[in-house]
Amino acid sequence: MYLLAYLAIQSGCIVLSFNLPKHFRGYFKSSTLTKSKKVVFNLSGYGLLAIGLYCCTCVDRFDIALTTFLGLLTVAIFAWALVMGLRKA
Amino acid sequence: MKQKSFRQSMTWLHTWFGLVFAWIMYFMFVTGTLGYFDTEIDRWMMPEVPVNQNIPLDESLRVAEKHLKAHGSEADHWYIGPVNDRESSSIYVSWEWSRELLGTGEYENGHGHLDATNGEVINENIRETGGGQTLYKMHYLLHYIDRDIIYPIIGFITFLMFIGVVTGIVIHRNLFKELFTFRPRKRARSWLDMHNLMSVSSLPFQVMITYSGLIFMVTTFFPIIALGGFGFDSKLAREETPKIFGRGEVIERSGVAAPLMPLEQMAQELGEEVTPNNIRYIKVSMPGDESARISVRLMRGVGNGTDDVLVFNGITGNFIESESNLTGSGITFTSTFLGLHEGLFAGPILRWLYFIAGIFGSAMIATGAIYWVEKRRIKNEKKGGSFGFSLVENLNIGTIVGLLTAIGVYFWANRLLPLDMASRADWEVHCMFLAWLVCLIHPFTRSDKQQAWIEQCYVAAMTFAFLPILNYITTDAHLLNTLKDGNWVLAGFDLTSLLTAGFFIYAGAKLRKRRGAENIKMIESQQAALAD
Repeated sequence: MYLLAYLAIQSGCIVLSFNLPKHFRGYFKSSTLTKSKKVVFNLSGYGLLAIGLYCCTCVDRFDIALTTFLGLLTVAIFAWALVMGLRKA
Repeated sequence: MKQKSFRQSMTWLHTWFGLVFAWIMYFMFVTGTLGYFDTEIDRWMMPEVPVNQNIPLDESLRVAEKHLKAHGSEADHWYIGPVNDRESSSIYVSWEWSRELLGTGEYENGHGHLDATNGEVINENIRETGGGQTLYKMHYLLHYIDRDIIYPIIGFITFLMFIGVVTGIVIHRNLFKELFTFRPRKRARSWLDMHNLMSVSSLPFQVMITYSGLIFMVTTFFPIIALGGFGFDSKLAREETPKIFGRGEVIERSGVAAPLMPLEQMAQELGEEVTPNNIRYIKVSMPGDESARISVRLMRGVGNGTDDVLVFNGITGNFIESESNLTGSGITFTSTFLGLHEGLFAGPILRWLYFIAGIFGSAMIATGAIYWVEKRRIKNEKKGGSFGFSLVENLNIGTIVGLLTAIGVYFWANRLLPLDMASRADWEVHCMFLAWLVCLIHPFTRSDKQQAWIEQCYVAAMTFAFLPILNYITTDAHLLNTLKDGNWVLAGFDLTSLLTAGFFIYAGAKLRKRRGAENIKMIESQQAALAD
C-alpha cells in the first residue's frame, strides 16, 4: 500500500510540475501551456496526491498517515527535481 | 541612506545567522537524525546482546514477572518493556520502591535487560558503550558541557534555526515556481538550487522539527509557573502534578496482601489487536497488594500524550477504565509536537522517511554554507583572499565531511577498544571528537581546498566502507550472518555504512574529475596567454 501511495504521490508531483511553464516547455516543446491544460494538470496532480494520502490512511491512523504522506512527498519532490535537473544537463 | 526592504533584511538575517551557527546546527541535525535509529545503533554497538525475534507478549510478561518478583516484590511500581520488532533483543524491566523505603538507604531502584529466552540479566555481559543513545543525546546536549549551561545555548540556537526556516520562506521569491528546479554544473547557482530543493521539499519536517525543538526548551526559558506556586511543599506538588499532566489516579498501598494475577494472562485480556509493537510499556502499581493496578500504555497516535492507557485490576484482571493523558488543549498541542519531533510512533518505513528528512535538513545547512563560499569565491580571489572566507571554507570541509568521518570513527572505536578498558564508553566519544579535530585541522594544512575536499571524501568513504569488514573480523553479528538470519536491524546498519561509503566515493570521484577539468582549462588558458 505504501508503494502504491508513493507511486500516486510521485505521479502527482510529475503532473503538477508540468503546470509550471519552465518544466512544461522542457517536456512538451512544440505546444503551449494553455489555461485548460493548466486545469487538467492541477486537477489530476492534486487528485493523485489525494489518492496517495488515501492509500496512507488505509494503513495507519490519519495522524500517522499524514506524517507518512508528507515524508513520501518530500522524497517524491526531490527525486523528480533531480531527474529533471540531470536530464537537462 | 537607502532603507532596506523587508526581504533584504530577512536575507541578511538568514545569511549571517545561518552561517555563524551553521556548523553547530549541522552537528545537531546530523546527530539528531541518527537518533531516529538510536535503538538500532545500540543493537549494532552491543553485538553481545542476544537476538530474540518474534517473542510473544505472554512469554515476555512471564519472564519479566519472574525477575521482578525476585528483585522487587515489595516495590511500589514495576515497568515492563516487552520484546518487539524494533527492540528485538531483550525485555526491559525496572522497579521503584516507595519513598519511605528509599529513605532508609537499604533499597535502590533497579532496572535491567533480560534475555527473553532464559530470563538472564544481560547487562553484565555486554560491552560498555555509548551506543546510539550517546549520539542521539549529542543533538541537544552536545558533549563535555554541563546541562545547565548547554540548555539555554541549545535553546537559543534552536530559536535561530526556526528563524532561519521562516526567513528562508520569506526570501525565497519563487517558492512554488522553482519547486522542482535543480540546475547542475552551474557552481554557485547549483548549490543554491540544491539548498532550496532540500529545504522546500522537506519544509513540513523542517518547520515541525525546529518549532517542536523550541517546545522542548520551553521549561528552560519559561519555568512552569503552576509548579512554582507549590513552593517547597513537595507533598502538595506530588499530589497536584499528576492532575495537571494527566498522569492518572495515584494508587496507594492498602496494606492488605493479595496475590497479583499472573501477568502472562494480560496478553489474553488485551486481545489479538494489541501486539508488543503497540505497547510503550506495562506498569504494575502496588504488586502484591489489594489495590494493585496494571496499566498498559499503548502507542496509537503521533503524540506522546495521545496514547491510550488501559487500566486493569491487578488481582482479578478485570478492565477498569481507559485513561488519556490529554487533559487540555495545551497538553494535547505540546504532546503532539513533541511526539512528532521524537518520531517514536514511527514504524520502519516512516522511520526511514524521518531519517531521509533529517538528512535533507543536514544537507540544507551544508549546501547553504557551501553556497556562501561559492557565491563569494571569484570576488575573494580577485581581492587576493581573506581570513573570513578561508575560515568558512576550512570549517565547511572539516565539519560537513569531517563530522561524518568522526562518527564513523566512533563506530570503529566500539569495535577496536579493549572490552575491559576503563571508561570505555567515554573513550569511544573521545575518539570521535579527536577524529573530528584532525578533520578540522586538515583543510588548514592544504592550500588547494579542492584537494582537501577530495581527501576528506575518500577518508570518509574508507571509514564507512571498512566498517562492515571490521564488524566481520571482530564479531559474529556481521553482514553475512545477519542477512542469512533476516536480522534487518543489524544488516541495515552495515548496508547503510556501505551506502554512505558509496556516496563519498562518488562525491570524491566527481570532485576529482571537476578539478582535473579545471586544471586542463587553466593550462590551456596559460598556453594561450604564452602563445599571444
